[in-house]
Amino acid sequence: MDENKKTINTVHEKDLEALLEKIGLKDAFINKQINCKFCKQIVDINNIYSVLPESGTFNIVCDKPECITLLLQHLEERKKTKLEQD
Amino acid sequence: MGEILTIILTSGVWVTIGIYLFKNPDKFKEWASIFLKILSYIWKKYKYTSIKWDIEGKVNSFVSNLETQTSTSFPRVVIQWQNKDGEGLVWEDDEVIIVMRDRDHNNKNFVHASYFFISQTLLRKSKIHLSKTQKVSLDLFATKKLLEKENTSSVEQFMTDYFVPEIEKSDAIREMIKQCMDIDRLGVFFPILINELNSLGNKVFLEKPTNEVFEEVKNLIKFLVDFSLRQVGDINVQDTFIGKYTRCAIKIVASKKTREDNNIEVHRNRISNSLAMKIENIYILGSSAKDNKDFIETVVSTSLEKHPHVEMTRTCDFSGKIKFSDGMKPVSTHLVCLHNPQAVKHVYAKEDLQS
Repeated sequence: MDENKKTINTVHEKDLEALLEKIGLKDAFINKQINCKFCKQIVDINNIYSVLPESGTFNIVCDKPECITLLLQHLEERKKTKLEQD
Repeated sequence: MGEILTIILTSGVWVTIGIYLFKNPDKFKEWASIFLKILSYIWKKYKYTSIKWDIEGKVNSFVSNLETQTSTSFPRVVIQWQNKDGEGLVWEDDEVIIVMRDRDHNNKNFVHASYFFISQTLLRKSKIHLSKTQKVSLDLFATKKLLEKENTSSVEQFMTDYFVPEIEKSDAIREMIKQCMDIDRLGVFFPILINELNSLGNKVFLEKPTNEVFEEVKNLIKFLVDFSLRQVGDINVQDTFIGKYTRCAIKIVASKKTREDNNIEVHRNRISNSLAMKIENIYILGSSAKDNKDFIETVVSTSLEKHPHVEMTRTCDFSGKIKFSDGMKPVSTHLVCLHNPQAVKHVYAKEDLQS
């Protein structure tokens, strides 16, 4: 990995359903059965912020600013925990 | 004559093509569909490229500018599309995939990408030993600076969605952001505060430090705030910060009288005294007017001759505001960063934390 570059993975909203299909979440997403990891509210195409691969599964985060802030803090905690485990 | 001939011939060709296609509508559709396919292929690629280049261009421009002011190098952002047109999906644990909207939502895309990049990458090393409040405050303030510089139309959205709600929730965050603004007014938020926090982030504590580190960061920030608010000519404000984990000094070079007297010795001695106190980083600030800049350069070069182990890591000009007797005024400031590697301690064992 080039340490001078940081990659941010993104998906265009038009490719989102195809991506969700590949990870087995498309039907649940279309049927509004997926909840935000943090606030537990229903996530759909209008309010999705990100897909988070985590411990073999995928979590979805909505675009509420408080949930995004929680996600950023969660990622930092995960990195810290990983370093401690290594 | 030749030009007229060219025009006539060219027009004739197009007219002929037009008549042919008019008489053969199916052929017209065939050609049109090929043309439109090419256009839509370019258009589809365009929608990805325009979002990618917009974010990368602006964020990396901010990072490049930041590097000119600090002695740290920062990574550049790369937007990587996942599942573009159904092509490859690659994922790793904890590698978030952020959803980007159409170009109509440029501001939202930019706010999301910027906040994520600032929090997870740009300030990552700076925040290693900070408290949660300190981390959130830095992320918010630095992201606001990036947006103000590179994409002013997205500032309002960021302020409404993130900045104001966090300040409303926490007096501690409000207070720290106020302090960041005071430091930034002088122009030294990134050149000095982030530089010092990065240096702190490079240190390893073999025993987990207590809240002492958070307190030291608080004191460092207070030191910079007090310095930022000093009035020109005030020699009583503390210009040296000596902590357990971080030590820095700010030296103002020089007053008009000192310059006119060519009193280089006084300033060189101040730098030598700081080095003797094991100060890691010395920040020399002064007016960027030519005569003062020349004076600073002379002070620095003679100091480096006397202390060859010391490194000059950065020199730059930046804008800020300083306090005169009749209020704050904008100034252009010259900064030289001196680094004393002999004073740097990278690893702190238990006994170091107890001393």
